[in-house]
Formats: sequence, C-alpha cells, structure tokens
Amino acid sequence: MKYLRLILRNALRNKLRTGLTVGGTAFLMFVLLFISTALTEMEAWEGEAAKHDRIAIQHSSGLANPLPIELENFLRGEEVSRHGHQLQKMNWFGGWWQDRSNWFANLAVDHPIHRELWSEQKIPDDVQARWAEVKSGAIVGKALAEKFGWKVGQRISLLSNLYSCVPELEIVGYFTVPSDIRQEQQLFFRWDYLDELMNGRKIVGTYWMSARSAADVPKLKEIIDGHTRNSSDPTETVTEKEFAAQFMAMMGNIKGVVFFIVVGVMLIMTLMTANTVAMSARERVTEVAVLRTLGFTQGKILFLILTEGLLLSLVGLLVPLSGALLLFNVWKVSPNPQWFPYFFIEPGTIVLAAGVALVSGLLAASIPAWLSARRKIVDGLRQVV
Amino acid sequence: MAIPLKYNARSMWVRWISTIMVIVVIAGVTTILIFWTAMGTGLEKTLVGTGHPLNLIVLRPRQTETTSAIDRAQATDIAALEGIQKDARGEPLASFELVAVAGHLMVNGKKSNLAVRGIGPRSLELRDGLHLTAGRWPNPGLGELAAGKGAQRRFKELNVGDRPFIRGRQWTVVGSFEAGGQAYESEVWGDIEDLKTQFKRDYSTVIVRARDANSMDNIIRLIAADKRLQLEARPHAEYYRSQNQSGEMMKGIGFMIGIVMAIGALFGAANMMYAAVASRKREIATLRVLGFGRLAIGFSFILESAFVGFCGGVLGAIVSRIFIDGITSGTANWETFTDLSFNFRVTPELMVSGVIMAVFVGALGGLFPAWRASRTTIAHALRGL
Repeated sequence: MKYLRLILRNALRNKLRTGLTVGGTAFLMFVLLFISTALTEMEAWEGEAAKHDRIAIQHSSGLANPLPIELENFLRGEEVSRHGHQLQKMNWFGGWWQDRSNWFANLAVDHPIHRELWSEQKIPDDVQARWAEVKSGAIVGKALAEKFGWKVGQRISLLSNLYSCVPELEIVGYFTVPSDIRQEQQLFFRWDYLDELMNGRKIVGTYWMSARSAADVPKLKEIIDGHTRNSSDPTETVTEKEFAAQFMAMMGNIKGVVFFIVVGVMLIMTLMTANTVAMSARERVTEVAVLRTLGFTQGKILFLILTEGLLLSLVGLLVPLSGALLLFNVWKVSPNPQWFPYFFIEPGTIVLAAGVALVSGLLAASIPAWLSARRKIVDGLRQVV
Repeated sequence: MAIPLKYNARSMWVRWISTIMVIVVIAGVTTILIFWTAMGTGLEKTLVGTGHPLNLIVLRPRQTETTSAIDRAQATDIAALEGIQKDARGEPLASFELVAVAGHLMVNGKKSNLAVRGIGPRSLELRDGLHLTAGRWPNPGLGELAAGKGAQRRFKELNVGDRPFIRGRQWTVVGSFEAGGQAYESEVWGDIEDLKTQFKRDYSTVIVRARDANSMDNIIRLIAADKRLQLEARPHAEYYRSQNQSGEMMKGIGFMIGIVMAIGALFGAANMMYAAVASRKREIATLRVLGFGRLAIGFSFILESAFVGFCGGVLGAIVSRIFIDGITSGTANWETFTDLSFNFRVTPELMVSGVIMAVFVGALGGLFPAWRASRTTIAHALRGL
C-alpha cells in the first residue's frame, strides 16, 4: 500500500496517454458488458424457471403441434394427481397490439387455477374475482400496462399470426412479479374465451401443472409420456427450466458467438494496455536503475509495474461498468425494446468483466515488467533516454 | 510541398512494436465487426433470395405457411383465378402445399423445429434453382422424404437411406437437394397427402405463378375482394423478406457494437500517434526548417496513421475471409419457429467496408496528434533536447 502514491504518480505521469488508454479499454469493456448481458437476458427465464417445481406437457413433435383435449381427463385422474396438481391449459397466442412492433407475450390460460400455479405473480383478490366474471377479461403485468399506457377497463384487440381470430379483451387488472420484473411483460386471458372464438375446437397448446415435490417430477414424466407414447399425439413432459431452455437451443449457438467476442475484446484490450505500459516502461529505464541502486529488489520493481497495469485496466473497467449500470439498470434503457424489454447487468457479468480486466491488465504489464526488473543496473544507468 | 512517403514508412519501421500492436488492435476490431455483419448478411441471403419474382403465395391474413389453413375447395377456386400462367396442356401453374413443424433432434443433441413441406406435382416447377444432389424426389403414398442440404447439416438422421421417426411414423429419406442458398434448403420435403394425413392438417398455402406483373396485382386484388375466402395473396419474395427479423436485429446490434469498438480502437491509434509525435519533435522541427509547411506535416502524420489503419483493416478482412466466411450456423426463424440454416458470408463488399472503417479509425485517431505536430514551433522543438 505504501507504494500506492508512487504507482499513481507513474500512472499519471503522462495524463494524455493514460487517458487515451483507459478511454480505449473502456469502450471495449462496454461492448463486452453489452454482449454478455444480451446473453444473460436471453437466459433470464431459465434462471427464474429453475426455482419452481412446475412441469409443462407439450407435443413431442414440438410446440407448433396442438395436444388433444382428451388428455385433460387423464391429467386430472387419480394416477397423475398423486404426483401433481393445479392443472392448467395454456396457449401461446403470439399476438400484437395495433402494430407488429408492439409484440409482447400473451397467453390464453385456465384462469381459476392461474394464481395458485404461478404463485410468483401477485394478483389482487378483486382482480381475480373480476377475471372470473368477465369472459373476455385479461390480466396484465404492471410494467407492460405502463409501457403501453393501458388502463383498467380499457378494451384492446390482439392480432396474431398463429390464430385467425381477433380477441377483444377487457383489461380487468394488473399483476406484479416482485421477484422478477421481466415477468411483468405478459398478458393472460381466458382459455375458454379463446376457445369460444375458435368455435369450440378445443385446441390446447400445452398443459402445465405443479409437481407435488421435486421427487415427483420424474414420476410425472414417466406416467404422462408413457400414457401417450402409442397414441397419435405423443407428449413430452419437461420441467419449466427445460421448457425455457428449448428456446435458447432454437436461437442457435449464442454462447459460441458471445465467447468469440469476449475473447476477441480481451485480446484487443490487452494489446492496447500493453502498448501503454511498454511505452512508459521504456521511458523509465534510468529511473528503474536508480530505484534498484536504492535497494528496491527485482520483485518489487515487477510488483510496481504489474500494479500499474492492473490499475489502468481497473479504471478501464469501472468507468464503463458504472456507465452501463446507470444506463441499463437504473434508467432501464434497452437497445431493442421488442427483443429485450429489460437489459439488466447481472452480478455474474460483472464478475466476468472483472476477470477479463484482471487478466488483460496482468498480461499487458507482464512483459514490460519482466524486462524492466531483469535489466542490469549498469545497463539501465548507461542508457540515455 | 508534400513530405515523401518514405519518411513515414521508415518512421513506422523504427517503432515497429508499437505499430504492429496498433495494427493488430484495429485488425481485431475489424474482424469482430465483420463477424457480426457476416452473420446478418448470411441470414439475410437465405431469406431475401427466396421466391420467384412472379410467384404469389396465398394464405390466411397475417399468418405463415406453418400456421395457415386452406381447404381443398378454396385451393381449387384460387387455382382457377384469371391471370395465372398455364402450361402447354392449359393447366394452371398452381401448387397446393403444407408446411408442418416437427420437433427433431439436432446434430448437437438438442431439439429444434424442423420444417416439413408437403409438395405436389407443381412444386418444383414453381421454384428456381432447386436440384437433387443425391437420390430422387419422394413418391406419393410411401412416406418418402427429400432433405435440404441445410437441414441435413443441422439435424440428425436426414441422410439418404436414413429412416427418421417424425410425427408418429417412420419415413425414408430418398434424396437430398440444394436450392442455391434459399430457405428451402433448411426444410425436408415429402408428399403432400402423406403429410396431411400424418399431421392432421389442411393445405396451408397455394403458390401460383402469375402471367406478368399486371396479373400479379390483379390476383392480389381478386383474392382480397373475395370475402368468402378470407385469404390474402402476397408476392412470394416479399413473404420471405418480411421474415428477416433476426437478420435485421443482428445487423443492428452489429452496427452498434462496431461503432463503440471503433471508438475504442480510435483511442488506441491516437495513443500511438501522440507517442510518435512526441518522440519525433526534433525531426518535425527539422522538417519545418527545411521548408515543409505546417499543413504538409499535419497531413503526413494523418496519412501515416491512416496507413496503419489500412494495414489493420486489410489484416482483419483477410482473417475474416479465411476463418469466418462459410461457417455454417442456424437460428430460429421467429415468424415460423422453424430452424433456419445459414452460412456466414464475408462478401468482398463487406471486406471493403471493413477496410474503410479501419482507415477512418486510423485517420481520425491521427487527427489530434497531427494537429499537435503541425503546431510545433521550430525554436521550441529544437530547444527540446
């Protein structure tokens, strides 16, 4: 610690150079934070989904294939009920409001059981009661309602590219999701209303239910998938986490892309910092020799220069990090509101960025530091800079 | 009078470590920019290049081939419309098709949605650029499939001779085809009646070839006016172009990332040039004494910096061309939820724009240092030692 002043003085000796280096790495670090956050945002649902013991029953040929209504009786039957309860039909409506760019998550669900099954969604009693009364009623996440400026009692109609009908919904109230505001970007309306619009064709997208305990999940999979195996519509029963993960799998190799960018950015940052540290070390050859004469060991010189490199990359981390936190987490700016309603930087991303800063700072300073520390005192003193 | 370029070349050579570092930094930034854009371009080429200019696709309003439904009577009515091209025997060029979605195992062990197209006798005639690379086209009634090149790359069990299990029955792959990069390459094709039975669906679209541009408009109007049909006709090419959401988003994000990273690299270039100017103060003064003007000196430094940028850009473009061009990947088409296989495309235009960006980064980075150099007064600089 007692060398901090010396290190600081060295780092700030050429303020323009230090400023340009920190500025350059800061912009690159911002890109790194941005890319990693895009990934964590896409994976956010998986993390939330893992907290619950809910399962989804979908068609084994994929979500585009509807399930038969007859399955409902079986799922309510004694065999399944022993391991799971709170059965709900849920259809992804895939609609938008007024314009295609106002696309958001909207689903038709069995409303009576909704509040118990999705217990993290806080639905006030009066809203739930009103929903039971109004067949065309819809409940809306508070954040979504604010986004579109919807009021309770307002009527909205949804257009979809999956269904040819046009539901005209009355907003009966809001729900909140204190544990994850992202989940508030949804609208739920009644499955029986959708079915009425579809002339009672009883199309079911997925069935959802709660396992009675985590241990019941594999049993439910076995019972349900076993029951439908030889029917014309075999099912695939998955946990909520697996359900969420299949969308990431559909996106393709996002992790590979992010990894490529992170490694690339790290290399570029390292080179930029290395250039600066090398330049400043070259100017200080005589000084280092003098320090050595005064009794500074090689190790100490190594330490001084390494710390300087670290300091540079640390500032290069803190500046964009605080900027990005302010921009995305506090002001809730999103680079693409349709794909990312929120763009929150997660703790894991900060750890990743700090790791990259640490490694690139150390790597960048290592060669100049090593060369400076190893140079013989006489050589250093002899050199005219 | 201009300063000879030889002066710049030799100066760069003197501090080659620093020069090379900046070149690599700029090359890295160029590569990452090209990477993103190549991904967007590749995706765009599969969708934007698909569809014959005189083809129309008829489907339910707002819907896609995977969700639309048309019954035989409607389809027959459409085929009888005025303005559709006729073959030698006077039969209209119209094809009734169905695209179904099947969850299928990918090569990477995950599951994604495979598009399965049911084709009729006219399907091939209505499309350009399709040809078999192995085997033959499927025959009706036998559960035979032909797989596109892209689908084969992404999914398991789609090679000729394989017997994949899709939607409740075993099929036989009897052929594989190419479509010159069109979206069809990501699909598997089977007989329309086989598919209708197995997927329990109607036709989903009718594809027709108009006689000319005028009849095209006319058919669109006729179908829109027929209230009984409740269908719409869209130019086939436009239908595919409108599905390019992921490509647009990737290009948008790539552009943002590119700008931020370019600013970072600009700082790096400026840093290098400031150091160069500082170490060449005496030389600059000497040049002034020799009679070179301020402008000539400023220009010389900008040129030097731009050249470093150029080298970085060329290096980045070459690296991208070698390592990024042709990478095969895939992502979901979010309109149809089916997997779309694409190749990264590093086109010559993309390489040129990468180099232009790099030259800009270099020139802009050299701007302020050059200004400083041009402002150096003779007396001050010569005294500097």
